Amino acid sequence: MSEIKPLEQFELKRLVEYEAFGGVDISFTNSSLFMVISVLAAAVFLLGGMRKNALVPGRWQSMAELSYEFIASMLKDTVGSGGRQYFPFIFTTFMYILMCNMTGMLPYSFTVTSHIMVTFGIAIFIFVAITIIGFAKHGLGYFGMFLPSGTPWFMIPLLIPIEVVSYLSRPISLSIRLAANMMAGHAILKVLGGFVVMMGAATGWLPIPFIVLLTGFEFLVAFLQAYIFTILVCVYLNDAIHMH
Amino acid sequence: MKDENENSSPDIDDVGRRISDAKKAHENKDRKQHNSASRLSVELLSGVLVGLAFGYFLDKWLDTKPIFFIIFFFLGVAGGVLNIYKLFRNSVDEDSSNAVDENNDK
Repeated sequence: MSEIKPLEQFELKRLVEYEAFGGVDISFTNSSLFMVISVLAAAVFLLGGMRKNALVPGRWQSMAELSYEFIASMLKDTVGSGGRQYFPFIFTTFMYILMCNMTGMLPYSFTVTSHIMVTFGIAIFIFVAITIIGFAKHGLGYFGMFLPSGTPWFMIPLLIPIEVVSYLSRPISLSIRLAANMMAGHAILKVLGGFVVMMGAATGWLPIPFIVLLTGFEFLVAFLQAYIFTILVCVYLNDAIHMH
Repeated sequence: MKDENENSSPDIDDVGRRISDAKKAHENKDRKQHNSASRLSVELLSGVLVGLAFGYFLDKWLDTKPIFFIIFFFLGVAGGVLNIYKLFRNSVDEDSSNAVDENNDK
């Protein structure tokens, strides 16, 4: 009986080996390949949709416009008009993560966002950028983030470390949430698929309805996690711009 | 021509109202969903992780093996709980502001 390895799908394979600066491995892996595919998919989806630029949109164009308006209204609801200038960045983040999640749903593909290092890379970049925006807007007053107003003086030495830890945990929670959700879903699908093989012809059909259900659910998760990631970025941006 | 407009315009208004109602209901559902339980565990976990990392490296730097590790473990737990508290505070604010909006509509 063949062995089932539900985690094999997350293995990185070097497609083009390359070392730079004396030993830094920057090989082109299957992860990099699917990142490129995701970016291309997002570009084709949006540029192709807006190619005709009709006043009355067709199906493709209305999908592209819907995704634009979805993020635009989300940004307006959470940040307000002050967040308007960051819209290109927020929209790019959303489309990239969404496309990474969705290409991961194709059979035999690789889910880029299932690796915590990838999601952490995105999250830490956003975290640093938002911190810089906060300091640019408020100067040193941004340190007031770590001191809620109305704190009794004897609580200050205790509260500041707690607030700092809470602030620094943002990129960690962003990246863990996305990577864990994507990885868990795909691993469960693989495990259930393994059951079909293990149980044989007589009872092997039993897990199949669950696989179908879970696949649908995974599409929901793929979209929802991209949405949650983006709305949290908006919430953090709102904190940085408006402070409390 | 004029009659047609008069007949069709209330319909369009109605459709517009339905769309905005559906959008509102959808948004509320989404907000509740993203505040669901799966977020809480991650928030708590990440707080503890950051606290432990902080304590570990402070100990390594200052050569005071377990002291900061233990202190920052508890600070990390507190930070995680603070994350969850902030989450709920925001969602409560949103709910109450939604309620106000609905009252104004009526």
